[in-house]
Amino acid sequence: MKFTDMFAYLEGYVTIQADGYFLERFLNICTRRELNIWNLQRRGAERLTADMSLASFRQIRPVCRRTRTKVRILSRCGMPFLFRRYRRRRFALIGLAAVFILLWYTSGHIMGITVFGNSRISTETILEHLARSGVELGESTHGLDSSRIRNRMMTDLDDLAWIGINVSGSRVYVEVVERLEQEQGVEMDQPSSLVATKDGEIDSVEARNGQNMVKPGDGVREGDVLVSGIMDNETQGFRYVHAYGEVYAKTRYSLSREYPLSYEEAVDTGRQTTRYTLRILDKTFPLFLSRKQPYALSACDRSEQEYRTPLEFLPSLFVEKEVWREQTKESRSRTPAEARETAVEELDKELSGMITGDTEVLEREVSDTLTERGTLAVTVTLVCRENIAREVPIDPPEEENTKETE
Amino acid sequence: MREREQRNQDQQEIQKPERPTLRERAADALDISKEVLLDTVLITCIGNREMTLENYKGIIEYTDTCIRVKAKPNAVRVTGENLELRNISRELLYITGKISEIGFCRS
Repeated sequence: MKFTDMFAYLEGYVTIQADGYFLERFLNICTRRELNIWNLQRRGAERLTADMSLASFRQIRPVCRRTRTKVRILSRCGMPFLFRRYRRRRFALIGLAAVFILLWYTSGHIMGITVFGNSRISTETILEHLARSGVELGESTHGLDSSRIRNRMMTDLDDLAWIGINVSGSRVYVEVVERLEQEQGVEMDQPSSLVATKDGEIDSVEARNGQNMVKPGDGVREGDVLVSGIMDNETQGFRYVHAYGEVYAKTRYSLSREYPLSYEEAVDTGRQTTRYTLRILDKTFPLFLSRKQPYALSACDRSEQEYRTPLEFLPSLFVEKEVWREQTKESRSRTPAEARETAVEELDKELSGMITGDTEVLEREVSDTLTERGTLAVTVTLVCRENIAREVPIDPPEEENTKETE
Repeated sequence: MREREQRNQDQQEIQKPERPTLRERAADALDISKEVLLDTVLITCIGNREMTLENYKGIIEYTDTCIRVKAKPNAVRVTGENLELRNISRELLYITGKISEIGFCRS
């Protein structure tokens, strides 16, 4: 009954009171004309009350005339009456329509893309390639052919091993599986040599198979063969092996830069303004009036906050916060010692970003010279110890006499 | 007139239990629901509170203590208290209330 009740409510119904002598006849004619009547209750000898759908009620007049029944409406119920009450409120109706249009739009278009599983390929790169294949914020989700997009992504991005594209509501989930590192690509049964990846001075060779080509103290350049996979000795003869192991070498990383002794520095004056910008999809709504930069000389810090709606199909709301700080230029001067200190700090930081995790730093060399231009040229060199060996496969030639590694 | 009616009635009463009509036999043979083929009323009760009458012909009387319904082969009389017609359509009558008696009668 609940389900039909809902339909009755949508369609609208009235509770009527019918008075007459021939109420049974009235009911019979109503049913024969297929008028919807329900919840009949007798209220005395000549009276009954009943619920009637709005459409049926409009056709009741001839029946009443034939059976001499007087019908009165006791109450009205349902959506049509509700709408009639709000008919004058035009903006409420416009708002309601806007809500429905928005719902319809957002449920059929991409409102968010979530990329996960990637570590080497950046999310931006993936999003850029996805956009080229038609997966972009605001695009329709209906025409999305995930197998075609997958094929295209696989051909575009070499590092992809697999990519899965799932549409859930209006959010697209992109699962990425990356190819394994290429260094691990050489199989154990494939003949290979160890080759230097960097210039350096050999510190120790820990080869577990293969012919050593270098000894501690030797200097090597990038690409030099360190341990050869081609072996030739008296007991076993000439053969190809899979050379592997570690070759540690002293490597040098160096950076140099000039630092002026008298310079201009931007200093905050203490005055600042904060501006907010709303962003939905690719549309931005600035929440401030003037579009000019607030100060003649200023620095700006930007931060963005994402507000995700609880409903999957609605787009996230981004609030961008900009803090503009007014600045003035002040001339400063420093002693060579001070300049050296800042230089070492700055260059050290940059150098530590260049070396990989398992590299051991042996020593740090700092040298500086005063130039004629009034600047201090500082060079920071890190001497490190690291494994520079990389396995490179060798194809055994058909003819015995080609020796590519010697 | 009165006599002929009586005779008809007698004939019906004699005929029915002994020899089923052709339609009845057909319904039995074809395994079709009889109320469709024979165009008779189908009454379903849920306890004494609810009742549906399918394939009825019309309402003869409706008060809150007695409902008489025209149907084939006989009219149906339902008596009780606070009887309500919860739903009526061409084929179906849905009665609620406290039903005390259901009977068949000549209209």
